Amino acid sequence: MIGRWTVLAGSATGGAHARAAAGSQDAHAVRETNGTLLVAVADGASSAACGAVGATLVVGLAVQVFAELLRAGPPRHAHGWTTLITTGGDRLIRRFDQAAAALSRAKADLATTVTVVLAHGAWVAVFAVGDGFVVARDRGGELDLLLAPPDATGREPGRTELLPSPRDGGRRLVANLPGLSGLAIGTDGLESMLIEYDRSRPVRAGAAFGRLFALTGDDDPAALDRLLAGRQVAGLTDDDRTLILAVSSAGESAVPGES
Amino acid sequence: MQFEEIFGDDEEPDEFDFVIDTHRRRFVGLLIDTSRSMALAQTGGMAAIDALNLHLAEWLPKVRAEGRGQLRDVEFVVITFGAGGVAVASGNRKPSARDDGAFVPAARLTLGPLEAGGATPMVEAVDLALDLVEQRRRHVQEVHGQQCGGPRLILITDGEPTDFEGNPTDEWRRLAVRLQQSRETGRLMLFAFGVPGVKDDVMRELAGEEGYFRLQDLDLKRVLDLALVATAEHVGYRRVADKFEDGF
Repeated sequence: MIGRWTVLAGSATGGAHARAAAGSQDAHAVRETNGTLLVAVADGASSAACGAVGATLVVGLAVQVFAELLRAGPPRHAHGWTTLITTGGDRLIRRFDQAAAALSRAKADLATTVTVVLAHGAWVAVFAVGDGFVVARDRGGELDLLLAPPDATGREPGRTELLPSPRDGGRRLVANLPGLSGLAIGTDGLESMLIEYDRSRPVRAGAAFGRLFALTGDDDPAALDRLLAGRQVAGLTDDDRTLILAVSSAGESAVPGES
Repeated sequence: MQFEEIFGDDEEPDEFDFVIDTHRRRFVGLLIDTSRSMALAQTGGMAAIDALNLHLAEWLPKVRAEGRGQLRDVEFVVITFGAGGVAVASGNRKPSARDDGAFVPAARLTLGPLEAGGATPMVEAVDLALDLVEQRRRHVQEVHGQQCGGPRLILITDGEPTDFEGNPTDEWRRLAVRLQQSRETGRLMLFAFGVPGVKDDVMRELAGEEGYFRLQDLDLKRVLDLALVATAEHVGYRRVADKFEDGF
């Protein structure tokens, strides 16, 4: 059975940007078509002159690029998903580059991360540049750190791969997760409080995800925004933060401890 | 924008079980001038050193509270220069970058009462701080495998650099070159706060134009509040300058 997705998106401007009277440099977009979920989340680089523009641009392009590729319907096999995410990732980098040139901006001015997630049934495909993260939940409530932030060893805090010129070409993964019931996609502003580390290596999704996913069952669409802007989160991070929670109707009712 | 401005009186959701451990460390060296002039200068009807101790007693709980939140990845080393020469005032009070040495997590930062006296061996104090933060960075990376951010030094002084006998010294010129090299490679931020009695031209050479903040009066509470701002993660010279110009 292919379920539909219930999505709750939240974001808040970090204290540093708020104090500087600057807006958040995060951006996100969500689409769902016939049970296929498409989420794009981006974090414009604070060091870039127009990082927020870059983030907004890349999530728009991601929706455009991957919606085109999904027009004939989602792939049915691993090879098809791999081809889709590889082609889409390459095309997104190219289009971002072209758009930056069309805007007559120095490319570095638009520097941004991006995390794109496609999900249909048990299939999940991810294309990511930078330090976003993706967590999957199964019907039993077990969490899987599907896309971890890059290992922090030897890396300056805040430094990561960025569009338009990621040295690693972006990370791509395809997974088949029977029992998939939820996905969480976030920017690095939240990783320190949602991801558990062993030394500087991210190892697992934190316990908070259990209750976070439960927020999708609330009638309050602003619950996540309030949480991210609230004192508890602001007390732990000064960075912009964005979190997308998506729960599949195919698995939601079976998750223990939620109602 | 504050929470209330966005959401009015709506309550935020209950406490969540967020991860509060950190895989990152940042090192902040707080360098405090405790030379003889701090005993002689008066502010608010008391010696400057007494005022400093009074304000530190109010400031330290703020630091410890932030140490459970946004400053949870910060370790402090506090170094005084003046009474007793150059001395480590934090941790085990020894110039050691090893665990349980001079560096203390913000959540556990305490200081005993500071005493004033002697000369102003500022250069030796800054050199020691630079050496210790670099040793600590290596230790944390190699032994604990944790990610380390660029260190910050916060210098509070009312004087000019001297040798241990109180004689003016040009050693600060060598230090200025060392500091400039550290700044240019983006590895260090130095915030220098000068109160009356300070030698402005020397401080500008040491901290650079953007890193030097000259107060017109001996407002040590304000200095400590600005020092706390300068300790925050996403704060640079511009942000401290904005606070400074706003009269924070």
